[in-house]
Amino acid sequence: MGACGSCSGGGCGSGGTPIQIGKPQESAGGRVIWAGTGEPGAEQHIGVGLGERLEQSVPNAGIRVESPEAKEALRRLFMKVEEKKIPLWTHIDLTYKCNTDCIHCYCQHLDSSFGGAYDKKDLTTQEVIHLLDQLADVGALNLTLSGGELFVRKDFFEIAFYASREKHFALTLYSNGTLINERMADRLAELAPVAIEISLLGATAEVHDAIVQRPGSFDRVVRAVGLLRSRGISVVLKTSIMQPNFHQADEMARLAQTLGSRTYRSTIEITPRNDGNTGVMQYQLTDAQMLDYLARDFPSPWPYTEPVPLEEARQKTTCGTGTVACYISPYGDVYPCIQLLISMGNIRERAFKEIWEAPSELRRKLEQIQSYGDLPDCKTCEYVQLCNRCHGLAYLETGDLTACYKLALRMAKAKTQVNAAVGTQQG
Amino acid sequence: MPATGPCRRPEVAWRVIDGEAIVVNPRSGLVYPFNPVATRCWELADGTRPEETIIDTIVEEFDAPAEQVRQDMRGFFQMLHEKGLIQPTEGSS
Repeated sequence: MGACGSCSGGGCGSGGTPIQIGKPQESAGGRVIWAGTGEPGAEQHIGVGLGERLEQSVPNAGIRVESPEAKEALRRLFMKVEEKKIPLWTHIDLTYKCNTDCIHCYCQHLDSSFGGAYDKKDLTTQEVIHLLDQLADVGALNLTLSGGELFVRKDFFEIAFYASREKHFALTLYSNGTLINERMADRLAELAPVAIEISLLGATAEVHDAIVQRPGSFDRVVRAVGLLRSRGISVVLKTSIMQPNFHQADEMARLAQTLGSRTYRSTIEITPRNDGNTGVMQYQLTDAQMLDYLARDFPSPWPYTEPVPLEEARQKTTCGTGTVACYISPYGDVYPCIQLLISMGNIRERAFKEIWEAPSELRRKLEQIQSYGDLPDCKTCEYVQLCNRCHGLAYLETGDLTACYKLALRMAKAKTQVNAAVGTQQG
Repeated sequence: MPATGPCRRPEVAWRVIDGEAIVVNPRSGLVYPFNPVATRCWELADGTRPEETIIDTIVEEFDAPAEQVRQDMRGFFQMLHEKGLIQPTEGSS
């Protein structure tokens, strides 16, 4: 499953860190087509005698802040989390093994027992459980479990129930959906994750199955969504828009809505593989396709942004990777986020807290980057206002995390053009 | 064994950061930041303590007027129940 839009509005905050409340939820290359919990009164501020008590939709599902009190309370809270560098949002890939073989997948499994190039082994059940203990101790709360395909791990439910019932994590699961049957759906209903996010890569079996390279996958995904929805489980469908499915972009959004997806996210960001292999980038949209996609009124029109002077735009904060979110690979390597693949250490060798809190050259570098104006290429770039660059993807593209992230720049140019056209239309 | 007092639902996620809890109801997808008093109530609501015991603890720990705390906390637990954050206790409606 990996990063197929995985960072859209989620913990890594490539579309803006989770602490930036009120910022439109948009991944670096994507759009949240619709978002919400569907629960009436999600934005209510309920005062009680014991003091404020606020409710708010889960950030992963798209923060919607309407109450000033809620906004203030969350701002205070996240400031504290950021200040203490608590990895409130943590993503663990339990394995890179997968029963599908998506043409655009970023994962590169290294386990020789599964055909990988190296003799790296997935964390054992006990290692994962020990890791969960440590993560809970440092304050991690929102836990995304993914892969690979997480359901190929036989111990998935043992790990997930331990995380939820013993350590009180809020779970979000990423899956390709193809292994979810009646029995598994029953157990997932009992587990009660916040959401299960599933990739929808085509509006028809022909297109979806060609991308995942497994016949029958589309039908299994549709069935899985039905099984989950009928049990009241929140499903989020998400799409990587790329060459092979671009012609079905609108149909996929419609299908997601028909299937009952709580939120539908799409991204046009096809990223290099974890090992730096850029072959998958052949599936990226062309500039013209990008423009076409962003300019569409369906299912939602482009949200116009009033242009600001460049000097002001360059003050925009960059993503807070390495502060409020972290990523842990199946092999136990700890990274600042799922995209920035510079290892901070391995939990098989050192305790998580020690790794996370240790001073390092990477930390120092990240702390020096507070705004786009701190980045050499961005501080002279005229497209910075609508750019959502990612340190990690810049690093994968160029080997330099401060460099221009070229795909983000291409998207920023397209967004700027669309934004100007919308502004002209609106007078 | 049935709970003898307010009891957090097992699937509800939570973490305490600097004395303030962040509580997530996975079924509704809603997040609830609690203030320090509400957080202490939440920690005590493990099903082993009757509501009155929790109230007494809060009165003692926060040096607050008993009647005010009692009134506030009943409303608080009622709301936790309505929002699906705690499970019904024996004998509750």
